[in-house]
Amino acid sequence: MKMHEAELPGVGRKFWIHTDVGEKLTVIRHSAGKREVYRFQKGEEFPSSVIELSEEEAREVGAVLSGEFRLRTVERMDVIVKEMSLEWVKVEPGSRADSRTIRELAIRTKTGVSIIAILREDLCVPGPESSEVLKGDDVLLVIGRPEHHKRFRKVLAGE
Amino acid sequence: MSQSLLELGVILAVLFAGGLIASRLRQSVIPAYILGGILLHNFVTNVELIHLLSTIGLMLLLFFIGLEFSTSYLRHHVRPITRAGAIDLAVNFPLGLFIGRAMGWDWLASAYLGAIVYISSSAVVTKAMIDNRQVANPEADTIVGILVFEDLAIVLILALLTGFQSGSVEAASLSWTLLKIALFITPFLLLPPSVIPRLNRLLHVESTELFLLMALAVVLLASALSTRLGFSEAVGAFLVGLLFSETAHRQRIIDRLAPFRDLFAAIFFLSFGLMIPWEGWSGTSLPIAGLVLLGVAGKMATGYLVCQSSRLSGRACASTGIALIPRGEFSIILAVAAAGGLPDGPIKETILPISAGFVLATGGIGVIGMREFPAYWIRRKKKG
Repeated sequence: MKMHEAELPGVGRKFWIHTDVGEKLTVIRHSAGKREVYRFQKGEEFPSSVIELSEEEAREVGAVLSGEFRLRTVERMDVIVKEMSLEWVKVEPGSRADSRTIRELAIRTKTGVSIIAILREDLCVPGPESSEVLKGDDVLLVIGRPEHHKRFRKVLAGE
Repeated sequence: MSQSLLELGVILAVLFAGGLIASRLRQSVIPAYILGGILLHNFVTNVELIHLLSTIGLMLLLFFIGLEFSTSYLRHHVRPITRAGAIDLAVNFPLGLFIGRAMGWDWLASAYLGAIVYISSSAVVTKAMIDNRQVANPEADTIVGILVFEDLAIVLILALLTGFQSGSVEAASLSWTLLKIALFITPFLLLPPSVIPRLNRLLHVESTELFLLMALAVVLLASALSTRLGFSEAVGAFLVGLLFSETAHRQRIIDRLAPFRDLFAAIFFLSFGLMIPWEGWSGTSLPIAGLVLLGVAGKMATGYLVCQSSRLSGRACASTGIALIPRGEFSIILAVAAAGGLPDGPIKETILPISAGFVLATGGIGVIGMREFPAYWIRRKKKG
Protein backbone atom coordinates (compact mmCIF):
# COMPACT_ATOMS: atom_id res chain seq x y z
CA MET A 1 0.00 0.00 0.00
CA LYS A 2 1.43 3.31 -1.01
CA MET A 3 0.10 6.85 -1.25
CA HIS A 4 1.46 8.60 -4.32
CA GLU A 5 1.79 12.35 -4.54
CA ALA A 6 2.31 14.70 -7.47
CA GLU A 7 2.12 18.38 -8.24
CA LEU A 8 -0.41 19.71 -10.75
CA PRO A 9 0.68 23.27 -11.60
CA GLY A 10 -2.24 25.66 -11.80
CA VAL A 11 -4.50 23.19 -9.99
CA GLY A 12 -2.91 22.02 -6.76
CA ARG A 13 -1.63 18.66 -5.52
CA LYS A 14 -2.78 15.19 -6.43
CA PHE A 15 -2.67 12.12 -4.16
CA TRP A 16 -3.69 8.65 -5.21
CA ILE A 17 -3.76 5.17 -3.79
CA HIS A 18 -4.62 1.75 -5.20
CA THR A 19 -6.86 0.14 -2.61
CA ASP A 20 -7.02 -3.56 -1.70
CA VAL A 21 -10.36 -3.98 -3.48
CA GLY A 22 -8.69 -2.96 -6.74
CA GLU A 23 -9.95 0.59 -7.01
CA LYS A 24 -8.03 3.80 -7.42
CA LEU A 25 -8.80 6.64 -5.07
CA THR A 26 -7.54 10.06 -6.10
CA VAL A 27 -7.61 13.13 -3.90
CA ILE A 28 -7.08 16.56 -5.43
CA ARG A 29 -6.11 19.32 -3.04
CA HIS A 30 -6.90 22.47 -5.00
CA SER A 31 -4.73 25.51 -4.31
CA ALA A 32 -8.00 27.43 -4.01
CA GLY A 33 -8.83 25.34 -0.92
CA LYS A 34 -11.48 22.84 -1.98
CA ARG A 35 -10.77 19.10 -1.95
CA GLU A 36 -12.06 16.48 -4.33
CA VAL A 37 -12.14 12.71 -3.90
CA TYR A 38 -12.36 10.67 -7.11
CA ARG A 39 -13.23 6.99 -7.11
CA PHE A 40 -12.07 5.01 -10.12
CA GLN A 41 -13.41 1.46 -10.27
CA LYS A 42 -11.23 -1.33 -11.56
CA GLY A 43 -10.19 -0.73 -15.17
CA GLU A 44 -12.32 2.42 -15.48
CA GLU A 45 -10.96 5.70 -16.84
CA PHE A 46 -13.91 7.80 -15.74
CA PRO A 47 -14.55 8.27 -12.03
CA SER A 48 -17.69 6.51 -10.84
CA SER A 49 -18.15 9.24 -8.26
CA VAL A 50 -16.62 12.51 -7.19
CA ILE A 51 -16.99 14.04 -3.75
CA GLU A 52 -16.31 17.73 -3.28
CA LEU A 53 -15.43 19.00 0.19
CA SER A 54 -14.53 22.36 1.64
CA GLU A 55 -11.29 22.63 3.59
CA GLU A 56 -13.13 22.40 6.90
CA GLU A 57 -15.28 19.44 5.87
CA ALA A 58 -12.18 17.65 4.62
CA ARG A 59 -10.54 18.06 8.03
CA GLU A 60 -13.54 16.56 9.86
CA VAL A 61 -13.89 13.67 7.41
CA GLY A 62 -10.16 13.08 7.54
CA ALA A 63 -10.25 12.84 11.33
CA VAL A 64 -13.11 10.34 11.19
CA LEU A 65 -11.27 8.23 8.61
CA SER A 66 -8.10 8.15 10.64
CA GLY A 67 -10.04 7.35 13.84
CA GLU A 68 -8.89 10.44 15.69
CA PHE A 69 -12.33 11.92 15.92
CA ARG A 70 -14.24 11.13 19.14
CA LEU A 71 -17.69 12.55 19.33
CA ARG A 72 -18.18 11.56 23.01
CA THR A 73 -15.30 13.68 24.20
CA VAL A 74 -16.80 16.68 22.54
CA GLU A 75 -20.21 16.03 24.13
CA ARG A 76 -18.64 15.79 27.57
CA MET A 77 -16.60 18.93 26.94
CA ASP A 78 -19.93 20.81 27.14
CA VAL A 79 -20.49 19.45 30.67
CA ILE A 80 -16.99 20.41 31.71
CA VAL A 81 -17.37 23.88 30.28
CA LYS A 82 -20.72 24.35 32.06
CA GLU A 83 -19.60 23.05 35.46
CA MET A 84 -15.97 23.98 35.70
CA SER A 85 -13.68 26.45 34.12
CA LEU A 86 -10.03 27.31 34.02
CA GLU A 87 -9.06 30.90 34.58
CA TRP A 88 -5.86 32.89 34.51
CA VAL A 89 -5.66 35.33 37.42
CA LYS A 90 -2.90 37.83 38.06
CA VAL A 91 -1.65 38.71 41.58
CA GLU A 92 -1.55 42.51 41.74
CA PRO A 93 1.67 43.78 43.35
CA GLY A 94 0.94 45.20 46.81
CA SER A 95 -2.41 43.41 47.07
CA ARG A 96 -3.25 41.29 50.15
CA ALA A 97 -2.07 38.11 48.39
CA ASP A 98 1.33 39.56 47.54
CA SER A 99 4.04 37.84 49.64
CA ARG A 100 1.65 35.48 51.46
CA THR A 101 1.55 31.69 51.28
CA ILE A 102 -1.38 29.81 49.80
CA ARG A 103 -2.03 28.31 53.28
CA GLU A 104 -2.19 31.74 54.90
CA LEU A 105 -4.82 32.84 52.37
CA ALA A 106 -6.75 29.56 52.97
CA ILE A 107 -7.68 29.57 49.33
CA ARG A 108 -9.07 26.02 49.05
CA THR A 109 -11.27 26.18 52.17
CA LYS A 110 -12.44 29.78 51.74
CA THR A 111 -13.07 29.85 47.99
CA GLY A 112 -13.26 26.25 46.68
CA VAL A 113 -10.85 26.75 43.78
CA SER A 114 -7.53 24.94 43.29
CA ILE A 115 -4.38 26.58 42.01
CA ILE A 116 -3.02 24.27 39.34
CA ALA A 117 0.08 26.23 38.41
CA ILE A 118 1.89 29.51 38.92
CA LEU A 119 3.54 31.37 36.06
CA ARG A 120 6.37 33.45 37.47
CA GLU A 121 8.47 35.39 34.96
CA ASP A 122 9.75 32.68 32.60
CA LEU A 123 9.23 29.95 35.16
CA CYS A 124 6.28 27.64 35.72
CA VAL A 125 5.49 26.10 39.09
CA PRO A 126 3.06 23.24 38.47
CA GLY A 127 0.94 21.94 41.39
CA PRO A 128 2.28 24.41 43.98
CA GLU A 129 2.47 23.33 47.65
CA SER A 130 0.38 25.25 50.18
CA SER A 131 3.64 26.64 51.59
CA GLU A 132 4.33 28.43 48.27
CA VAL A 133 4.64 32.21 48.66
CA LEU A 134 2.67 34.19 46.05
CA LYS A 135 4.35 37.25 44.61
CA GLY A 136 3.19 40.34 42.77
CA ASP A 137 2.84 39.81 38.99
CA ASP A 138 2.46 36.02 39.45
CA VAL A 139 -0.15 34.60 37.07
CA LEU A 140 -2.19 31.79 38.62
CA LEU A 141 -3.90 29.04 36.64
CA VAL A 142 -7.01 28.27 38.67
CA ILE A 143 -9.76 25.65 38.27
CA GLY A 144 -13.19 25.81 39.87
CA ARG A 145 -16.92 26.44 39.48
CA PRO A 146 -17.98 29.96 38.44
CA GLU A 147 -19.06 30.95 41.99
CA HIS A 148 -15.71 29.71 43.36
CA HIS A 149 -13.85 31.96 40.93
CA LYS A 150 -15.89 34.95 42.08
CA ARG A 151 -14.97 34.30 45.75
CA PHE A 152 -11.33 33.67 44.81
CA ARG A 153 -10.97 37.04 43.08
CA LYS A 154 -12.36 38.74 46.20
CA VAL A 155 -9.87 36.97 48.46
CA LEU A 156 -6.98 37.89 46.18
CA ALA A 157 -7.99 41.52 46.15
CA GLY A 158 -8.29 41.48 49.95
CA GLU A 159 -12.00 42.23 50.17
CA MET B 1 -13.19 63.76 -17.78
CA SER B 2 -16.81 62.81 -17.18
CA GLN B 3 -16.84 61.21 -20.65
CA SER B 4 -13.87 58.99 -19.71
CA LEU B 5 -15.54 58.05 -16.44
CA LEU B 6 -18.71 57.13 -18.30
CA GLU B 7 -16.74 55.04 -20.79
CA LEU B 8 -14.83 53.22 -18.07
CA GLY B 9 -18.05 52.60 -16.15
CA VAL B 10 -19.74 51.16 -19.23
CA ILE B 11 -16.65 49.03 -19.93
CA LEU B 12 -16.72 47.54 -16.44
CA ALA B 13 -20.48 46.97 -16.66
CA VAL B 14 -20.08 45.20 -20.01
CA LEU B 15 -17.23 43.08 -18.59
CA PHE B 16 -19.42 42.13 -15.65
CA ALA B 17 -22.44 41.28 -17.80
CA GLY B 18 -20.36 39.33 -20.32
CA GLY B 19 -18.54 37.44 -17.59
CA LEU B 20 -21.82 36.60 -15.88
CA ILE B 21 -23.35 35.23 -19.07
CA ALA B 22 -20.19 33.23 -19.84
CA SER B 23 -20.15 31.66 -16.36
CA ARG B 24 -23.83 30.78 -16.69
CA LEU B 25 -23.05 29.06 -19.99
CA ARG B 26 -20.09 27.35 -18.26
CA GLN B 27 -17.69 29.01 -20.69
CA SER B 28 -14.44 30.84 -20.08
CA VAL B 29 -14.87 34.57 -19.45
CA ILE B 30 -12.08 35.55 -21.85
CA PRO B 31 -14.11 35.20 -25.10
CA ALA B 32 -16.94 37.14 -23.45
CA TYR B 33 -14.58 40.00 -22.59
CA ILE B 34 -13.30 40.11 -26.18
CA LEU B 35 -16.85 40.16 -27.55
CA GLY B 36 -17.63 43.04 -25.19
CA GLY B 37 -14.71 44.97 -26.66
CA ILE B 38 -15.81 44.25 -30.23
CA LEU B 39 -19.29 45.55 -29.38
CA LEU B 40 -17.96 48.75 -27.80
CA HIS B 41 -15.57 49.66 -30.64
CA ASN B 42 -17.58 52.68 -31.78
CA PHE B 43 -18.40 53.78 -28.23
CA VAL B 44 -15.00 54.28 -26.61
CA THR B 45 -13.21 57.53 -27.48
CA ASN B 46 -10.49 57.72 -24.82
CA VAL B 47 -8.37 55.08 -26.46
CA GLU B 48 -5.17 56.19 -24.76
CA LEU B 49 -6.52 55.65 -21.26
CA ILE B 50 -7.83 52.18 -22.12
CA HIS B 51 -4.56 51.35 -23.83
CA LEU B 52 -2.59 52.25 -20.69
CA LEU B 53 -4.89 50.24 -18.43
CA SER B 54 -4.75 47.25 -20.79
CA THR B 55 -0.94 47.39 -20.89
CA ILE B 56 -0.92 47.16 -17.09
CA GLY B 57 -3.22 44.15 -17.46
CA LEU B 58 -0.82 42.53 -19.89
CA MET B 59 2.11 43.08 -17.51
CA LEU B 60 0.23 41.68 -14.52
CA LEU B 61 -0.86 38.62 -16.53
CA LEU B 62 2.72 37.76 -17.41
CA PHE B 63 3.97 38.73 -13.95
CA PHE B 64 1.58 36.17 -12.46
CA ILE B 65 2.63 33.50 -14.93
CA GLY B 66 6.18 34.00 -13.72
CA LEU B 67 5.08 34.20 -10.09
CA GLU B 68 3.00 31.01 -10.25
CA PHE B 69 5.44 29.19 -12.49
CA SER B 70 6.43 25.91 -10.91
CA THR B 71 10.17 25.64 -11.36
CA SER B 72 10.24 22.54 -9.17
CA TYR B 73 7.66 20.81 -11.40
CA LEU B 74 9.70 21.57 -14.49
CA ARG B 75 12.89 20.33 -12.80
CA HIS B 76 11.26 17.04 -11.79
CA HIS B 77 9.70 16.34 -15.17
CA VAL B 78 12.16 17.91 -17.62
CA ARG B 79 12.14 15.03 -20.08
CA PRO B 80 8.41 14.30 -20.51
CA ILE B 81 7.60 18.01 -20.52
CA THR B 82 10.24 18.87 -23.11
CA ARG B 83 9.24 15.94 -25.26
CA ALA B 84 5.51 16.67 -25.23
CA GLY B 85 6.10 20.42 -25.49
CA ALA B 86 8.44 20.05 -28.45
CA ILE B 87 5.94 17.84 -30.32
CA ASP B 88 3.21 20.40 -29.63
CA LEU B 89 5.41 23.23 -30.97
CA ALA B 90 6.66 21.28 -33.99
CA VAL B 91 3.15 20.25 -35.05
CA ASN B 92 1.27 23.47 -34.47
CA PHE B 93 3.65 26.36 -35.15
CA PRO B 94 4.10 25.55 -38.88
CA LEU B 95 0.31 25.56 -39.42
CA GLY B 96 -0.14 29.29 -38.78
CA LEU B 97 3.17 30.04 -40.47
CA PHE B 98 1.94 28.20 -43.55
CA ILE B 99 -1.39 30.04 -43.67
CA GLY B 100 0.38 33.37 -43.19
CA ARG B 101 2.71 32.66 -46.12
CA ALA B 102 -0.23 31.39 -48.20
CA MET B 103 -1.93 34.76 -47.66
CA GLY B 104 1.21 36.45 -48.96
CA TRP B 105 2.42 37.72 -45.57
CA ASP B 106 6.11 38.31 -44.81
CA TRP B 107 8.01 35.89 -42.59
CA LEU B 108 7.73 37.95 -39.39
CA ALA B 109 3.96 38.36 -39.64
CA SER B 110 3.61 34.70 -40.56
CA ALA B 111 5.73 33.72 -37.57
CA TYR B 112 3.39 35.75 -35.35
CA LEU B 113 0.46 33.86 -36.84
CA GLY B 114 2.31 30.58 -36.29
CA ALA B 115 2.74 31.42 -32.60
CA ILE B 116 -0.89 32.58 -32.26
CA VAL B 117 -2.10 29.25 -33.67
CA TYR B 118 0.42 27.20 -31.69
CA ILE B 119 -0.16 28.33 -28.16
CA SER B 120 -3.06 26.96 -26.08
CA SER B 121 -4.59 28.92 -23.25
CA SER B 122 -3.35 27.91 -19.80
CA ALA B 123 -6.17 29.86 -18.17
CA VAL B 124 -9.03 28.47 -20.26
CA VAL B 125 -7.73 24.89 -20.30
CA THR B 126 -6.99 24.70 -16.57
CA LYS B 127 -10.36 26.17 -15.66
CA ALA B 128 -12.22 23.83 -18.01
CA MET B 129 -10.33 20.82 -16.61
CA ILE B 130 -11.29 21.78 -13.06
CA ASP B 131 -14.93 22.58 -13.99
CA ASN B 132 -15.32 19.28 -15.83
CA ARG B 133 -13.58 17.32 -13.08
CA GLN B 134 -10.86 16.00 -15.35
CA VAL B 135 -7.89 16.84 -13.15
CA ALA B 136 -7.78 13.32 -11.66
CA ASN B 137 -7.68 11.70 -15.11
CA PRO B 138 -4.42 10.06 -16.20
CA GLU B 139 -3.96 12.51 -19.10
CA ALA B 140 -4.16 15.56 -16.80
CA ASP B 141 -0.42 15.37 -16.08
CA THR B 142 0.42 15.38 -19.79
CA ILE B 143 -1.86 18.35 -20.45
CA VAL B 144 -0.51 20.33 -17.52
CA GLY B 145 3.06 19.54 -18.58
CA ILE B 146 2.42 20.92 -22.07
CA LEU B 147 0.89 24.05 -20.54
CA VAL B 148 3.99 24.55 -18.39
CA PHE B 149 6.17 24.24 -21.50
CA GLU B 150 3.97 26.77 -23.30
CA ASP B 151 4.26 29.23 -20.39
CA LEU B 152 7.99 29.35 -21.05
CA ALA B 153 7.61 29.19 -24.83
CA ILE B 154 5.38 32.27 -24.98
CA VAL B 155 8.01 34.36 -23.22
CA LEU B 156 10.81 33.25 -25.52
CA ILE B 157 8.63 33.69 -28.61
CA LEU B 158 7.58 37.16 -27.45
CA ALA B 159 11.19 38.11 -26.78
CA LEU B 160 12.23 36.83 -30.21
CA LEU B 161 9.41 38.31 -32.25
CA THR B 162 9.21 41.67 -30.49
CA GLY B 163 12.99 41.79 -30.70
CA PHE B 164 12.67 42.25 -34.44
CA GLN B 165 11.18 45.71 -34.63
CA SER B 166 11.66 45.98 -38.35
CA GLY B 167 9.53 43.98 -40.77
CA SER B 168 12.49 42.14 -42.25
CA VAL B 169 14.31 39.21 -40.76
CA GLU B 170 17.96 39.61 -41.61
CA ALA B 171 20.85 37.58 -40.33
CA ALA B 172 22.33 40.63 -38.59
CA SER B 173 19.15 41.56 -36.73
CA LEU B 174 18.55 37.92 -35.82
CA SER B 175 21.91 37.54 -34.13
CA TRP B 176 21.56 40.97 -32.46
CA THR B 177 18.14 39.97 -31.10
CA LEU B 178 19.43 36.65 -29.82
CA LEU B 179 22.32 38.42 -28.11
CA LYS B 180 19.95 40.92 -26.50
CA ILE B 181 17.73 38.10 -25.26
CA ALA B 182 20.73 36.30 -23.85
CA LEU B 183 21.95 39.45 -22.11
CA PHE B 184 18.52 40.24 -20.69
CA ILE B 185 17.36 36.78 -19.63
CA THR B 186 20.53 34.98 -18.54
CA PRO B 187 21.19 37.21 -15.52
CA PHE B 188 17.81 36.11 -14.16
CA LEU B 189 18.56 32.44 -14.70
CA LEU B 190 22.09 32.57 -13.31
CA LEU B 191 21.34 34.53 -10.15
CA PRO B 192 23.34 33.13 -7.24
CA PRO B 193 21.10 31.54 -4.57
CA SER B 194 22.33 34.13 -2.06
CA VAL B 195 20.21 36.73 -3.84
CA ILE B 196 16.98 35.19 -2.56
CA PRO B 197 17.54 35.81 1.19
CA ARG B 198 18.60 39.36 0.35
CA LEU B 199 15.46 39.77 -1.71
CA ASN B 200 13.44 38.36 1.18
CA ARG B 201 14.78 41.05 3.50
CA LEU B 202 14.17 43.73 0.87
CA LEU B 203 10.57 42.63 0.40
CA HIS B 204 9.95 42.46 4.12
CA VAL B 205 7.68 45.50 4.33
CA GLU B 206 5.23 45.31 7.23
CA SER B 207 2.60 47.72 5.90
CA THR B 208 0.29 46.02 3.39
CA GLU B 209 -0.23 49.31 1.62
CA LEU B 210 3.46 50.00 1.10
CA PHE B 211 4.05 46.38 0.14
CA LEU B 212 1.46 46.68 -2.62
CA LEU B 213 2.97 49.93 -3.91
CA MET B 214 6.46 48.45 -3.94
CA ALA B 215 5.37 45.29 -5.78
CA LEU B 216 3.46 47.23 -8.43
CA ALA B 217 6.36 49.65 -8.86
CA VAL B 218 8.80 46.80 -9.45
CA VAL B 219 6.52 45.18 -12.04
CA LEU B 220 6.00 48.43 -13.94
CA LEU B 221 9.67 49.42 -13.86
CA ALA B 222 10.84 45.99 -15.04
CA SER B 223 8.33 46.14 -17.89
CA ALA B 224 9.48 49.63 -18.81
CA LEU B 225 13.08 48.43 -18.87
CA SER B 226 11.96 45.57 -21.09
CA THR B 227 10.43 47.95 -23.67
CA ARG B 228 13.54 50.16 -23.53
CA LEU B 229 15.55 47.14 -24.61
CA GLY B 230 13.17 46.60 -27.48
CA PHE B 231 11.14 43.69 -26.08
CA SER B 232 7.49 43.40 -25.21
CA GLU B 233 6.77 44.71 -21.69
CA ALA B 234 5.49 41.21 -20.94
CA VAL B 235 9.00 39.74 -20.99
CA GLY B 236 10.28 41.91 -18.14
CA ALA B 237 7.12 41.34 -16.12
CA PHE B 238 7.46 37.57 -16.47
CA LEU B 239 11.12 37.58 -15.43
CA VAL B 240 10.42 39.63 -12.29
CA GLY B 241 7.53 37.31 -11.47
CA LEU B 242 9.81 34.32 -11.89
CA LEU B 243 12.38 35.93 -9.60
CA PHE B 244 9.77 36.74 -6.93
CA SER B 245 8.35 33.21 -7.09
CA GLU B 246 11.49 31.98 -5.33
CA THR B 247 11.08 34.34 -2.39
CA ALA B 248 9.21 33.77 0.86
CA HIS B 249 6.80 36.56 -0.11
CA ARG B 250 5.33 34.76 -3.12
CA GLN B 251 1.95 34.02 -1.55
CA ARG B 252 1.63 37.50 -0.11
CA ILE B 253 2.29 39.06 -3.51
CA ILE B 254 -0.29 36.76 -5.10
CA ASP B 255 -2.89 37.60 -2.45
CA ARG B 256 -2.33 41.34 -2.72
CA LEU B 257 -2.00 41.71 -6.47
CA ALA B 258 -4.54 39.15 -7.71
CA PRO B 259 -7.49 41.60 -7.58
CA PHE B 260 -5.49 44.07 -9.69
CA ARG B 261 -4.59 41.32 -12.16
CA ASP B 262 -8.26 40.36 -12.47
CA LEU B 263 -9.36 43.94 -13.09
CA PHE B 264 -6.65 45.02 -15.53
CA ALA B 265 -6.49 41.70 -17.39
CA ALA B 266 -10.24 41.92 -18.04
CA ILE B 267 -9.69 45.40 -19.48
CA PHE B 268 -6.81 44.01 -21.55
CA PHE B 269 -9.04 41.36 -23.14
CA LEU B 270 -11.76 43.90 -23.80
CA SER B 271 -9.31 46.38 -25.30
CA PHE B 272 -8.19 43.68 -27.72
CA GLY B 273 -11.76 43.53 -29.03
CA LEU B 274 -11.90 47.34 -29.04
CA MET B 275 -8.98 47.49 -31.47
CA ILE B 276 -11.02 45.78 -34.20
CA PRO B 277 -13.28 48.05 -36.27
CA TRP B 278 -16.52 46.43 -37.38
CA GLU B 279 -15.66 46.85 -41.04
CA GLY B 280 -12.33 45.09 -40.36
CA TRP B 281 -14.11 41.74 -40.35
CA SER B 282 -14.93 41.71 -44.05
CA GLY B 283 -12.98 39.08 -45.93
CA THR B 284 -11.64 37.37 -42.80
CA SER B 285 -14.08 34.45 -42.64
CA LEU B 286 -12.11 32.23 -45.00
CA PRO B 287 -8.73 32.61 -43.21
CA ILE B 288 -10.44 32.20 -39.83
CA ALA B 289 -12.19 29.01 -40.98
CA GLY B 290 -8.90 27.65 -42.31
CA LEU B 291 -7.05 28.52 -39.08
CA VAL B 292 -9.74 26.97 -36.87
CA LEU B 293 -9.78 23.78 -38.94
CA LEU B 294 -6.00 23.44 -38.85
CA GLY B 295 -5.84 24.62 -35.25
CA VAL B 296 -8.23 21.90 -34.08
CA ALA B 297 -6.63 19.21 -36.23
CA GLY B 298 -3.14 20.20 -35.08
CA LYS B 299 -3.98 19.86 -31.40
CA MET B 300 -5.75 16.54 -31.94
CA ALA B 301 -2.62 15.32 -33.75
CA THR B 302 -0.52 16.58 -30.83
CA GLY B 303 -2.64 14.58 -28.40
CA TYR B 304 -2.23 11.48 -30.54
CA LEU B 305 1.53 11.86 -31.02
CA VAL B 306 2.25 12.69 -27.38
CA CYS B 307 0.30 9.61 -26.34
CA GLN B 308 2.10 7.28 -28.75
CA SER B 309 4.94 6.37 -26.42
CA SER B 310 3.13 6.73 -23.11
CA ARG B 311 0.82 4.12 -21.68
CA LEU B 312 -2.28 6.24 -22.09
CA SER B 313 -5.43 4.84 -23.70
CA GLY B 314 -7.03 6.01 -26.94
CA ARG B 315 -9.58 7.91 -24.91
CA ALA B 316 -6.88 9.72 -22.94
CA CYS B 317 -5.07 10.67 -26.17
CA ALA B 318 -8.23 12.13 -27.71
CA SER B 319 -8.99 13.90 -24.44
CA THR B 320 -5.48 15.42 -24.41
CA GLY B 321 -5.96 16.76 -27.93
CA ILE B 322 -9.37 18.25 -27.16
CA ALA B 323 -8.12 19.89 -23.97
CA LEU B 324 -5.36 21.69 -25.91
CA ILE B 325 -7.78 23.20 -28.48
CA PRO B 326 -8.76 26.39 -26.60
CA ARG B 327 -6.53 29.36 -27.43
CA GLY B 328 -6.85 32.42 -25.27
CA GLU B 329 -4.75 34.96 -23.43
CA PHE B 330 -1.41 34.01 -25.02
CA SER B 331 -2.70 34.22 -28.59
CA ILE B 332 -4.22 37.60 -27.76
CA ILE B 333 -0.97 38.86 -26.24
CA LEU B 334 0.86 37.78 -29.40
CA ALA B 335 -1.73 39.39 -31.67
CA VAL B 336 -1.49 42.67 -29.75
CA ALA B 337 2.31 42.50 -29.90
CA ALA B 338 2.09 41.83 -33.65
CA ALA B 339 -0.19 44.82 -34.15
CA GLY B 340 2.28 46.95 -32.20
CA GLY B 341 5.39 45.67 -33.96
CA LEU B 342 4.27 45.33 -37.57
CA PRO B 343 4.33 48.32 -39.97
CA ASP B 344 0.97 49.85 -40.88
CA GLY B 345 -0.77 48.08 -43.70
CA PRO B 346 -3.22 45.35 -44.61
CA ILE B 347 -1.42 42.64 -42.57
CA LYS B 348 -1.64 44.67 -39.39
CA GLU B 349 -5.33 45.31 -40.04
CA THR B 350 -6.20 41.67 -40.63
CA ILE B 351 -4.12 39.95 -37.95
CA LEU B 352 -6.34 41.29 -35.15
CA PRO B 353 -9.76 40.16 -36.45
CA ILE B 354 -8.29 36.86 -37.61
CA SER B 355 -6.80 36.18 -34.18
CA ALA B 356 -10.00 37.27 -32.43
CA GLY B 357 -12.13 34.97 -34.56
CA PHE B 358 -9.67 32.15 -34.05
CA VAL B 359 -9.57 32.58 -30.25
CA LEU B 360 -13.37 32.85 -29.98
CA ALA B 361 -13.95 29.77 -32.12
CA THR B 362 -11.30 27.51 -30.62
CA GLY B 363 -12.24 28.62 -27.10
CA GLY B 364 -15.86 27.63 -27.68
CA ILE B 365 -15.09 24.39 -29.53
CA GLY B 366 -12.46 23.28 -27.00
CA VAL B 367 -14.47 23.97 -23.86
CA ILE B 368 -17.65 22.39 -25.26
CA GLY B 369 -15.60 19.46 -26.55
CA MET B 370 -14.04 18.87 -23.13
CA ARG B 371 -17.47 18.90 -21.54
CA GLU B 372 -19.21 16.63 -24.04
CA PHE B 373 -16.43 14.18 -24.87
CA PRO B 374 -16.74 11.81 -21.85
CA ALA B 375 -20.47 11.24 -22.44
CA TYR B 376 -19.83 10.74 -26.16
CA TRP B 377 -17.09 8.21 -25.42
CA ILE B 378 -19.27 6.22 -23.01
CA ARG B 379 -22.12 6.12 -25.54
CA ARG B 380 -19.74 4.94 -28.23
CA LYS B 381 -18.35 2.22 -26.01
CA LYS B 382 -21.82 0.94 -25.12
CA LYS B 383 -22.74 0.62 -28.80
CA GLY B 384 -19.82 -1.69 -29.15
